[in-house]
Amino acid sequence: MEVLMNKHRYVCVLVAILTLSFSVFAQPAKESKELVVYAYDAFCGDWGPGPAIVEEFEKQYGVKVNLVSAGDAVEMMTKVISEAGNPWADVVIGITDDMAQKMYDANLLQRYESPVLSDIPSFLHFDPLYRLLPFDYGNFAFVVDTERMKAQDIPTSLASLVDPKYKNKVILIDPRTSSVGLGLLLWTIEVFGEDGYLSWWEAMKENALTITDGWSSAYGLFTEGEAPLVLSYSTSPVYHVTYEETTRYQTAIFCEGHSTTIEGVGILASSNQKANAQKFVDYLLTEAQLTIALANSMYPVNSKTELPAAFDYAPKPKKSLSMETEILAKNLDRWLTEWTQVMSR
Amino acid sequence: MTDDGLSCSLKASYQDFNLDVSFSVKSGELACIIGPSGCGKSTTLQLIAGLLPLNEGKLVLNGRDISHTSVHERQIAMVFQDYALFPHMSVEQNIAYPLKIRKVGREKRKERIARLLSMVALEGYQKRKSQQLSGGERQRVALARALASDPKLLLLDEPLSALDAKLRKHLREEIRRIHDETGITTLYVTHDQEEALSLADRIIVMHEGRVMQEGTGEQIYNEPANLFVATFMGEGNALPYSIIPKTLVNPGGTDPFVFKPKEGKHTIFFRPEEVLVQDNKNLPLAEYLVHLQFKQAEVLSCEFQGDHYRLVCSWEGYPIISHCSHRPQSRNVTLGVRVKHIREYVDGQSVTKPLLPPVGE
Amino acid sequence: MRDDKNMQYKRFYRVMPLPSTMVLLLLFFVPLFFTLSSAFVTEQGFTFSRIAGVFTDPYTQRIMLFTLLQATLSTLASLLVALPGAYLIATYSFRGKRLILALSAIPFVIPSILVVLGFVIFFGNNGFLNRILMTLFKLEEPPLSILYSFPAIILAHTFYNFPIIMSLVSSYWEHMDGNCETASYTLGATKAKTFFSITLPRLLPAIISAASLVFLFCFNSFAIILVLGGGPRYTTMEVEIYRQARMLGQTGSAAALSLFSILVTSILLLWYNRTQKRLALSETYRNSNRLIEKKPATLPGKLLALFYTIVSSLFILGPIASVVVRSFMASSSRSGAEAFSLKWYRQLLSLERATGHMNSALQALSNSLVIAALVALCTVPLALTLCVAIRKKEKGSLLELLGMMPMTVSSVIIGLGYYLISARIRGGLLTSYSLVVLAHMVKSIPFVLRTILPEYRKIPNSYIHSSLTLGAGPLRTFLQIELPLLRGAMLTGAIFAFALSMGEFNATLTLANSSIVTLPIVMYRLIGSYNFQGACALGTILIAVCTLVFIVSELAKGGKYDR
Repeated sequence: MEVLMNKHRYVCVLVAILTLSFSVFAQPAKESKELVVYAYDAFCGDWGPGPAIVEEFEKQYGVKVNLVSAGDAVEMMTKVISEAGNPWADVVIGITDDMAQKMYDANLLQRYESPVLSDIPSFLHFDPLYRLLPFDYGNFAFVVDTERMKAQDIPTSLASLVDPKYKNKVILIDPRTSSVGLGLLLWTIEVFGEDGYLSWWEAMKENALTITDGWSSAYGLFTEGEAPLVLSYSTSPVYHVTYEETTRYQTAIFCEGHSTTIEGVGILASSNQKANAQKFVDYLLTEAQLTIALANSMYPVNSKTELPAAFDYAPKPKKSLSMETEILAKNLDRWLTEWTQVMSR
Repeated sequence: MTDDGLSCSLKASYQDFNLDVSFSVKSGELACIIGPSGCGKSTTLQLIAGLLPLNEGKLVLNGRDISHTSVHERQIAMVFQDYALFPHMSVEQNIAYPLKIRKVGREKRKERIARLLSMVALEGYQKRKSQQLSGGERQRVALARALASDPKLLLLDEPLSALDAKLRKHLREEIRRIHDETGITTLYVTHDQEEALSLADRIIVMHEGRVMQEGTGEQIYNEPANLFVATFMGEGNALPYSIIPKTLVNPGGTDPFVFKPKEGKHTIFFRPEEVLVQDNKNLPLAEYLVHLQFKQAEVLSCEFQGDHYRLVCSWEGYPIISHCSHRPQSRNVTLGVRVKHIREYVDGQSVTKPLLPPVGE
Repeated sequence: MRDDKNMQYKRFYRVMPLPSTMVLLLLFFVPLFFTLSSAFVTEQGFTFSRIAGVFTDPYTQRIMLFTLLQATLSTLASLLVALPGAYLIATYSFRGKRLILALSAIPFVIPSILVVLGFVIFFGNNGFLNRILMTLFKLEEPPLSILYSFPAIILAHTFYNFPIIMSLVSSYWEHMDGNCETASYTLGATKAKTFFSITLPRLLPAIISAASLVFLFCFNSFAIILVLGGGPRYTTMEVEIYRQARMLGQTGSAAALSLFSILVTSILLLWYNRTQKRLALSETYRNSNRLIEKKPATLPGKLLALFYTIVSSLFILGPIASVVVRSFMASSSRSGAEAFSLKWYRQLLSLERATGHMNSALQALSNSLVIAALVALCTVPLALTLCVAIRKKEKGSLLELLGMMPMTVSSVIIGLGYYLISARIRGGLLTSYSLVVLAHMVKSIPFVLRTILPEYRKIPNSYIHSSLTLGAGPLRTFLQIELPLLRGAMLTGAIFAFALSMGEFNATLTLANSSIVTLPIVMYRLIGSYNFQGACALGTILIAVCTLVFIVSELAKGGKYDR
């Protein structure tokens, strides 16, 4: 019986090897003229805008596109940079204005002043050299669960969040491990300045239920009802309105203004399909805008895009704040260290 | 070094001791290695089997130099102290294991297994599992399995030490019988002298990594080559040579005694069963006359051994062990021993010549 | 009996660990080397200053201490919870035992985000437990605010890890001879004293084996600590490495921190190895199943067993069940109450709202299953060969340490290493599959090694020697004698390898270039697009499939007991 077991095992391994080898033959021949597009994972997934966009683009222009998911935005950037010696991507989607400096330093992008740029408001042109073009943007905002918080208690400013009545009612995100958390950090610096932001954070230590590792955990806790306020995007309610048919979750607009985050698309200088790449970028900035906005729950950059009614629940702030990429890159380490020092006491 | 059977000369160095042994076992012989714990007997077996590497030395089996052959090619079977029956196999499968290796066909296998099992008196045990067997049964299966591999040499590492006395005696006979039936050269390791003496054609006494003496049981027992063998095999009394003047007795009309102490530690040695015990002053001396007499020996203990009594007496501070046919009636006894039963050792080595010329026996 | 290390079959044993060493080398050590070497390189060239800086920085030292502290406490807590369970499983037979054992690998299957979510759903201030208690006792405030504190970290780690200790220790315990204990009782010792003086020391090889796995896992833990701990007060090395590597893109600093971590954990592992070796007495191998007889006899015994089962069910099942239950709840109307609904499943499986035609959840599931099966099938033989080499060779403990290394390195660093690989290797589907399978194997080797090694060490030398003297070469001896005695351990190892592969996310994403989509990837995508319930539904499917697989294998293992 034992010998049989061993034979069994060998048979299994053999079968496994055979199955694997079938996939070799099942694989279609590689197209040499395909456009390789790197995007962050959420973009490429079934519920992201990627697949639909690619399908449409391929139909319209007859160019084969290979949409490659490369982890989250930071991982994608790392991947592109580490592939500098042996590049594969033609287009890279999803590098935000926060992290762009590293991309600029790697000197891999090609300048492209798309004709479509005229339809995009100038405050969204975050790269003066047009290595990265914006394709969607969002505002960081606190989302409130109206079933757990009375209308009169909803905060109207960042500063008011430190009020003791919000004790254990706010879910924050760690800026060291999450780009959303980083967005909040920058937001507080933009609002309170380098001298004041730390005291806000220090006061928030009391009010924060927890400071999570990323947006997923934070929003998950929020929807589970652990706390009525969470750091997210001003467009978050759109999802709930559209797919859950509830207006329970609403954006709290702050009088100091909100920090914006702009997602960019860029063409790699190493690409040998510049023409197609440019077509793709243009497509992204025009016809694909609605799909992107809906799937990503972000605002389209193209002012001509008509948004559905659900976006009424994603109010635009009166003030848009942002920080220059260079300043950010220079000071980030110091800010994070200072933040850590204050918060770990 | 003989051409057939086993001949080995092994030298090896380990953490606790150094091994340097050299002996031979004739083809078809049952030889026993005996010695106290830690003397290196198991190590020797392992070296012979190839389970330990032999760096220096030579091992020849039936004319073939196997010093550097791999274990599984030496055709040496070994039965271990814990029997090492494979727990996931039945008795039948255990015994079939070496047969399958030698590609014995299924029908032949069944036949051989049945034959082997009947040889070890375990007919019908094929389907049992080792967990269901008693110690003695396991040992016999281990033996049967070893025999199934048709070895040129059979090694047994203290195979009976885990069993009770009665079973041990019984299995001892079985082992001897099986050995005689199969005629395989066998090397048997034990620390039980009774086993060695009764079982073996040839005994090899080991101590601290060395062979102290090699010979038949009678030779080892009656003519121990050194003090260690003398005191290790069986019981004995070792006393310094210097006591002789104090104990000497002149049987009537004999030549004067010559007391010649030698350089070094001179010892005399005699067995307890050769000691005559006189427990009553008034009764006449025992039938024969003794040469050395130990008067006023105090009896410290008296153990009943079934067929005799074992007395431990104290004479002038020296303990003397003797055998007596009856329980001594008085506290103090007189012990006596004849010259021909006395052996002399200088610095542990035998220098025996008769103490006095033989007086007409 | 002298140990095996001097045996003559040097060549055989030298060859044995080659396949696993190659895999480890290519998919772990080489990328790791390249990534870590950046710790020594700055603009000025080769230097030690960065490393020195990291080691001497008081902040780094503080978080290193904290990381060690929480890992140690978590390990101890897991041991405390697991050992009674191991005792129950090893000694008694009771209904549902197979199920508990089958479920013990489930925590590894679930991606950490769902673990966190499950915890929150169950233990949170608004979680099931608190809500039930509040309605039962008519309270205003949630009575058990366990979360967002240091104890919550220990709790979550215990949930995640105590099953593996329970599983490993109980299988080792089952095969232990009860004679020593019986002897102890006859000498007049009480049950308690016997346990602490006799049984516990004999169990130490298995305990240390499992504990070192748990320790390493907790050492590198990330999401659980940040979310459930409540804030940056509880920062670990992993967080700092993440910060340097991801946020700041400073690979060099991240590598330096990682080296510090690796050094500390390697020293600990070496110490573990030492103690393990000393304790590896040659136990009499008992293949029999002595469980068939006993049921808890006395009333206190029964109560204790019941109490333990309830509490541990809370631990194991609570968070998992919360995820499952959550997936079945949906509001039927705008602000209606939540009720049982299959809405999320329908969405998932029919791709409502999906904007594309790419991989459906079902395909992701089949991908995950195929990969996991391959990983399980391949890792076990590899780990086996390593075990053999560890036991038989001179440098055995070095090999053991190398086999454990994948667990000592932060996943961020490993991820960086994988970028190096994926940058250079750009093949088709087959290449991606192979790379993913290999990466998963590397991750599983420490687990499978730890599962098999203690059992392997228990096989007495005399069995192997016996087989050799009977004429079987070392290969045959291995296949026919050693291997069958390891079946239970191999199966347990295979189950864990399977579970790890099913829940693996990072390596798959990096190496597969999105051509292969597995279940965890789809889960993260769902979460990323606000669909938490969908992720729960997917998680439930994942748990259900894995539970089925594990139950089937437990049954298969059970059959072997009859031999």
